[in-house]
Amino acid sequence: MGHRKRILFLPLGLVALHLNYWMWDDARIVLGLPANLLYHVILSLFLSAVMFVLVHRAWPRYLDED
Amino acid sequence: MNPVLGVVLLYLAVVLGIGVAAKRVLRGTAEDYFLASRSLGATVLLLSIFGTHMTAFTILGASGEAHRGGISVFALMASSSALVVPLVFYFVGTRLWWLGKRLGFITQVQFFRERYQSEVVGLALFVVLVSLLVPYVLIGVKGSGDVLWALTGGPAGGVPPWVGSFLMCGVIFIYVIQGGMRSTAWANAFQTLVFMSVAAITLLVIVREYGGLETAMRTLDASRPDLLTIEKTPRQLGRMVSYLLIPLSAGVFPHLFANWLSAKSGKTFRPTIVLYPICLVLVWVPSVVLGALGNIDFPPPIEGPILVLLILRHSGGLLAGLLAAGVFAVIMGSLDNQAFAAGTLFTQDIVRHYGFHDGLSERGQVLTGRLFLAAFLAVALFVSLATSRTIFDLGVWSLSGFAALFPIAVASLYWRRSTGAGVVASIATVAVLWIIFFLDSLGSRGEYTVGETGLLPVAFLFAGAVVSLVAVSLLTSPPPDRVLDRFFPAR
Repeated sequence: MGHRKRILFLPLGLVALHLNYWMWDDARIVLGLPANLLYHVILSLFLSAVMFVLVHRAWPRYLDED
Repeated sequence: MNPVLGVVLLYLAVVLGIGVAAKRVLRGTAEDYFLASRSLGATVLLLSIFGTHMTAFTILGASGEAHRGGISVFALMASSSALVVPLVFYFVGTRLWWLGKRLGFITQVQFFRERYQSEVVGLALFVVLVSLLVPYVLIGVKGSGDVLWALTGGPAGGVPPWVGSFLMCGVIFIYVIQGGMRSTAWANAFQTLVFMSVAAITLLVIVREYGGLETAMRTLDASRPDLLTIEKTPRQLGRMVSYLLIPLSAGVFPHLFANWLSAKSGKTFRPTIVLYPICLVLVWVPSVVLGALGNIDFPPPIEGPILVLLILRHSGGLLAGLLAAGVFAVIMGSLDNQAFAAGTLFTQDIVRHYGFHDGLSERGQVLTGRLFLAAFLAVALFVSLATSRTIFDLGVWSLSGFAALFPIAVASLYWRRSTGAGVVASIATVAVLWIIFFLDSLGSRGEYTVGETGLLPVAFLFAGAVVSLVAVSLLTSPPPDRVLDRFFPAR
């Protein structure tokens, strides 16, 4: 399977991380934030890192052509 | 003068100055007025797109939802957007920009009409897009007046709501007609910085009043521990899945489309795609945390936005003025683009296409765009004065409708076999299902889910849109090669 085709599976993996059902009832407070909220904040920062890799490693070349 | 009103007037003067300054580089062509000559750089593009996408709901609505339902609102609405929206920009936004630049499109309707060689597709899309935009615009106009009224004293001598709404529409009108898309983008960039700063300052000031974040959360945990967790039920899982579909609306918003097409190059999209999740965290975390913490001082039921109550209790004065400016910033940042997008659609797809057979002069296009913007804002202002607060409930319905149009956007870019008949069938299915669910929801209390499953109407609208698009496309003749060659050139 090609590099570009594999990218299409990326959203599925990210959705699995988003639906963190296993810790919805976690009532701990960590770093001043509820554990669930902190998880989603960290997930958002991770998503930013994923997007960084995406635009640098799998950027469609035709977009930069004149 | 009331200090809140003073800060708001000062803020509006700055925005006006930025918007009018953009006129200095106006070239007078239609492409320059409607798309800033496709010249926006990376920083302005990021701030303008983010400011356009965030609405009054981001500050007032999200904190209100967190006050009622707790921190789960961040996962439902912000984290889902952090996941979906950058991918929409990557897969849809960049490709539409590329095709728009190569083939000279200004609006979505032009793109779809040419892609499917169908006037019916263009007209159906125009009607649906404008219909879904109207409630959105009314929410912004009404919200600005309501917030200024509440922060300046409310029933005890607050500025009448129509004054706030009128001020905002007037300022938007003046700066948008000056420099078109460039004024809108520059003003939005400034407005985004303002509401991001206001969100952070408000969080710091109020949390300090509670003795710090840790102490505040422990206090809340003692009285309302349910607000710090997410209910572990199938219904909640259904909601979580449904809310993942709502941000797909970003792929169809006419006001975001205009921003995409204004980009200078493909590379200018990169910072927007990478930094979007971080921008969401910066704005949504303060809003959600403050909304939830509001239960300490103001247990439900409450009168008015929780953020306004918190500020009036814990600081008032200057911070109340800053919040008012922040709310104006977040509303104006989207409202100016929505009104401008509606004007662009009307000018390009109705007046120019049908009135002048695509032959209207450059000057005529700009003049028509300005006249329509004036008329659109005037009508929005008057209608907003006559509507009740129930208009705010239409927000999620508007988003659901846009999200359900996402399959046709993807098909137009990536599925060669999709046909105009398939697109029309998909739009018609969405319209019919939308009306059915909306009518069914009128008698329900609280959040409406289909058959009490936890699944929002958007899940069924989306499924219906996909099935009808695929089925009808496969049953009708494929598009001719000469058309496909334009939209899927060999690379």
